[in-house]
Amino acid sequence: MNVERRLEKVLLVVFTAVSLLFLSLPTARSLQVFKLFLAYCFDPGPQLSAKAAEVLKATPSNYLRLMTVDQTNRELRLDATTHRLKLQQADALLEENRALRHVLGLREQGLWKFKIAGVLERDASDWFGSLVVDLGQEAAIALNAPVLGEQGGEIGVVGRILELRPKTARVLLINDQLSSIAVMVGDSRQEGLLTGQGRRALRVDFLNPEAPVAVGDRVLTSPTSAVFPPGNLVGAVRRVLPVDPYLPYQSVEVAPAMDINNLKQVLIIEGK
Amino acid sequence: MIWFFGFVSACFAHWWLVQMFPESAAPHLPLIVTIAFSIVRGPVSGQCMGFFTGLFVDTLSVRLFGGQALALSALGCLAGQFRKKIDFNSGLAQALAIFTASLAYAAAMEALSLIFMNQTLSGAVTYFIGKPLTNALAGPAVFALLDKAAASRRRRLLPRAQ
Repeated sequence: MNVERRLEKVLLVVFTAVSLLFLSLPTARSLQVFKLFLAYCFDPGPQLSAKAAEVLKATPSNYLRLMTVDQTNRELRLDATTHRLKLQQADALLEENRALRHVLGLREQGLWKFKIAGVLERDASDWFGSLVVDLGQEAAIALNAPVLGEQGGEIGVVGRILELRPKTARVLLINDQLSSIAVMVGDSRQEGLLTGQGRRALRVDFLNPEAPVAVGDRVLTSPTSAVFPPGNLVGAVRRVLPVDPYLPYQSVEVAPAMDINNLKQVLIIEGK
Repeated sequence: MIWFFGFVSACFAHWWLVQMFPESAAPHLPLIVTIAFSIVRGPVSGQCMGFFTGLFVDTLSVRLFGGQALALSALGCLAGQFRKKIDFNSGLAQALAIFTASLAYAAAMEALSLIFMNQTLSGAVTYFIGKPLTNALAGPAVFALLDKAAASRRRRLLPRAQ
């Protein structure tokens, strides 16, 4: 008991003395620095509270984002199921097609294999002429391989491989003046030759002047095309040009299906 | 162990309370814990708690450095003197003890401020009315926690009945 009382008194004196010593110290810079140091060591509070406040502030928007992601996820799952079903149907049709071809003695068509390449660069002086992709000889890309693009759920023709380098390849776009493709126009499947104009619009010549061609008709690659697989979307008729009485064919202007300016990735077909 | 836990929780809970609530709505936890320790565990424990938690609060405040340590250690010593003389088992007695200690603390801080800084404390109403009331309301809860911790320690130390 006595020891505790003595300790109590000693502590009172010591604590009072130390406190008075601290109190009597002038508020010198060294003391302020010492206080700041201690505050920094002991005080994770401001950082933690700032973080907590940030988390709390971001919670409603994060929740909203989570809900949106959940909604998108559901839609995508539904889409995936639909596509899986379509794929099954397509497989069945393919099998049927193969059997019929066999019965009719026609040559069997192989399925396309493709590689996905990223668009690397565009040349400002040749904007509608070509672009460079990030796959080349090392990826076994062949010269003249058809290049397709994907936009808004549709696959359309972009061009063909013009030049090969080890790691890159230059694609000749269908808009280039040197490009020409055999195409079919509209439901009547009139064959014509699509040529680039060096600008956004394309042109199809050699169409039968009697053929019913209308604005909005789809333009697809023809089975007679030497480069492209048949049935690939090229674009849609934008304008039917007046028939020149001195020419034995009619021409139409075509809007390309793929917006070349928004292409980030392309599909390179490995074998037609 | 209880002492260390009390010290750490008093310091950090005090900081969080001060950050989250207005000045008069946040109880002064170091003061309450000091008084509770003095009454439940004796003046030595209370003094040590008062001095170190006071020093912690001094470190984080821009006011007098050492003022809170002096006031709280002295209050811890003083409260320890009354533990055998007054029955602090009821919540009302605990609240009254905390209320009185808060007033004494406010007076001590005012005096220290006048002596060492030659100025009075800003927000005297908060210190003399708001704080003592919130401290008195929060005090019994701290006493209850400390009693519970002490009882559980006693149970652990007692030999088990065969």
